[in-house]
Amino acid sequence: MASSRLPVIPLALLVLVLLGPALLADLIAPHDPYQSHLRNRLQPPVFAGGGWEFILGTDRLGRCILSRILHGARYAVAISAVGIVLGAALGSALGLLAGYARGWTDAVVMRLVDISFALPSVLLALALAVVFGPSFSAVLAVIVFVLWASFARQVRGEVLSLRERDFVARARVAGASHLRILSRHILPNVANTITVMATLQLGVIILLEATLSFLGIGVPRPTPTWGLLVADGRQFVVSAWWISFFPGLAILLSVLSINLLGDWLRDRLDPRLQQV
Amino acid sequence: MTRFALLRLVQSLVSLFAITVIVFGLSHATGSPIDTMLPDDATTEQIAALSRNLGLDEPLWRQYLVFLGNALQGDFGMSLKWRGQSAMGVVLDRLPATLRLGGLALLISIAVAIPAGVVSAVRRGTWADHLVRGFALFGQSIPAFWLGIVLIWIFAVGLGWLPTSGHGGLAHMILPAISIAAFQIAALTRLTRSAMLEVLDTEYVKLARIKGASETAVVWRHAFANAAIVPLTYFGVLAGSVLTGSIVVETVFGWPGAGWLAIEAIRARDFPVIQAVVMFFALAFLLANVLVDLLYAWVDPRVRHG
Amino acid sequence: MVLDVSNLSVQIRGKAGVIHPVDDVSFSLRPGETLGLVGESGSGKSMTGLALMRLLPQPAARITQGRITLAGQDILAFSDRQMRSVRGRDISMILQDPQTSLNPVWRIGAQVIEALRLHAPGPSTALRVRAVELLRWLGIPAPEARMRAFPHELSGGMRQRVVGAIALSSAPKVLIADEPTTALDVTIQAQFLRLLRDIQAETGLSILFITHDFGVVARLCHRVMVMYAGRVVETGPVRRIFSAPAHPYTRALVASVPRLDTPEGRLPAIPGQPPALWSLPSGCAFAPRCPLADARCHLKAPPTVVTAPGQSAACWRPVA
Repeated sequence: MASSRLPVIPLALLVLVLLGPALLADLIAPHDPYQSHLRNRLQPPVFAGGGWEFILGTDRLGRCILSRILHGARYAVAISAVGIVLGAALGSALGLLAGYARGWTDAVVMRLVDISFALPSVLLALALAVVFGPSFSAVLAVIVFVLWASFARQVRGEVLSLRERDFVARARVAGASHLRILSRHILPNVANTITVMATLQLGVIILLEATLSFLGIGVPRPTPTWGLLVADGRQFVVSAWWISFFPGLAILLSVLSINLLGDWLRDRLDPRLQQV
Repeated sequence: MTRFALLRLVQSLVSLFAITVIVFGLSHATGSPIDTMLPDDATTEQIAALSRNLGLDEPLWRQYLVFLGNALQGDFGMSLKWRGQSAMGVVLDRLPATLRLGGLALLISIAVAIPAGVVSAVRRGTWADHLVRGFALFGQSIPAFWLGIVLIWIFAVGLGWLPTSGHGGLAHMILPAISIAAFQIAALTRLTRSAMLEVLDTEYVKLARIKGASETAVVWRHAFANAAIVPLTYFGVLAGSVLTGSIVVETVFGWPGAGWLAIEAIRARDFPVIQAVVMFFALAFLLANVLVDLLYAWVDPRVRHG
Repeated sequence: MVLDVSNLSVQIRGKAGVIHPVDDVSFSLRPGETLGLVGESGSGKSMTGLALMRLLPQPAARITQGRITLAGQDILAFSDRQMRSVRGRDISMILQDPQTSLNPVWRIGAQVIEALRLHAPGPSTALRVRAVELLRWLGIPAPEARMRAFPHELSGGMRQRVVGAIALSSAPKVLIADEPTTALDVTIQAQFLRLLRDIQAETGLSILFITHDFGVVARLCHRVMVMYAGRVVETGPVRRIFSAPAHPYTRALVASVPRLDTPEGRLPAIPGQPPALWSLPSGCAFAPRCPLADARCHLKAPPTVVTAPGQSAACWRPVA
């Protein structure tokens, strides 16, 4: 049931929780996210008896939770955006190659796809974290590793059927080079699929990044990533629930709005694409 | 059928082989294990002797073959953190707890998602459908570790109905199992719904109604028997994600399974144990997928004969 | 009359608004008679068939008015449960595409036995014997072996015979056949039509045969009803419809049937397109394409007039 109207609520939510804070964190955050206010440790949020100075309360070092969440949006956006672009590019390129060349190339790529599906991503991240230490690039590597295979498989499938179509045969008869056929005739036809998949995967990647930083194997401390903020509050479930609650809510709302947008985009651009 | 099964088996073996290469490669990238095994004031002779002893002076491919041979026998060496135990032994100790928790999570996922997906498709466009789809959307957007913390906050701290964490019976398993299952329920519900919608629209479902079959028979025996193939193919992925989910959720709830073990091993840089856990999880995942392929062929006569 | 339909209307609520794919349709079916229901796609002939089974697509479509009397019973007043016991037993249906009409994961035998069991429960062995007999009756060779086959292992013609066996398993009084031969190739088509005729001769079955193919109508039907844009435009005995069609639309349809005596096989096609159901013209729906249409035709919907014994047409200017 494709609605042609722009999904206003998810868009607003996305801007409010993710994009706005990511761009304007320095301007709108009431406090320095790293600054401790030791006299104001474990302040509850304003609606649970706290003051207006720390709207969403403070953590065990007296740092402003709202400011930390606003700054955390930055890392969520930066990591997932770069990861999606790299992963989609690598996966789509290999998928194009496999579907177009077929034969051995295809067999090898598809086997690699199977292998990467068989390796649990969090475990791989753990291993990488041990080998290289927790870092921005290790997180990116894991994200690319998780993403490329699904892009490769989907794109390959479409290319396999596209290459049998008339316009490709015609281009070939007309003497077009393989590179030209791929870039001018096949790529534009899979572009929608790639766009929709990228949007649908964006939510998954934000969740993955949050999970990694929650486990302490993502972007290292003291960077206030959302996963880390949730982890910070774990010991305070009884006494200061707000430390974990609000960062987690930010993750939930961001991913929710992205998933809603992804569904809408799929209905419009590529309704056949199945999402899991 | 047999050819198809053999092909899938060979493909899985190739994947498994590649995974051993990756695991072996990772263990080498961490640097020589000798530093952690000898005191700081060890002599060069001692280092050389241990190197020879461990086969570290051999060429890399030779070392890999030795590793592969040992891995095939389930020998990943001795654990560094849990002194006196083999890495394999440590993993095997913890595995039952993970299988119990994962099994419960899987059960919950299927028991909730299949009826929800079917009802949502049969009552398409009604409030029941909207409700199910809303829940599915939430389930796919919620971080498992945070859900775990919120569940502890509500049901253990707030209401006091269930224990906050630790190992024990069913009461200890409910919250972690739900945390693991949430995402899977959502994914499986959406999948079942779309598969059912497609099938409910077919001519053979119409023919079943023409025969005068009851609505229950039409929905379950005719439509679902066909639609079930789609969630079934997803089962392999499902089993894998449940394992992955257990790593995070076991950590949140302090559940002493293989997932928490992996985190502990990483913190202690206990590479033999890490290798063993990764190999175990990968093997479980591949097995689940082979099983699904065989089941798939068994359920769908068109594949079986194709 | 075994089946009597009066003033039946079906409404569909869609994105483009409310449409009436079946609009004020009346007809009746005598025992042992075959009535051809002819029209282009979108004329409402399949919807009429589904409405008779009360299997319209839910929840978009519903019957808004009319009466369906089947063997003396008003089936529109029936509960869902009562309707289920009527389906398959009193009125049954064969769908267009044998490729997709059978459940791909069920064995042929199980599908036939289910149909038998629904209306006449009995021990499995007895049902099995009856299923084999049924398949043999429908001209399926080696029926015992076919019982264990899956649909994809049978040819299109055989599959349609299985669908026929299922539809006729409880000896219904009325069979609705919705383009049952369209997906079959010509020789198989002829065999299947002959089979239907033989079965009718044997059982006195009444058939509503939905088709767009006048060739099939000529071979099988006793009477013909022509639909256009949801309405019945002409009804009459098959000979009259071919020799002296009263409605200009019927005339155009009959003229477009390929004949051996038409030079070079050129078909005089009807100019223009059937109207969209959500923007029907205010007068006669065929008027925009009709060579005889005058001002009145465009303004006011025509009444149904009797043009000859047993023949009637909804037209201001019927060809007498």
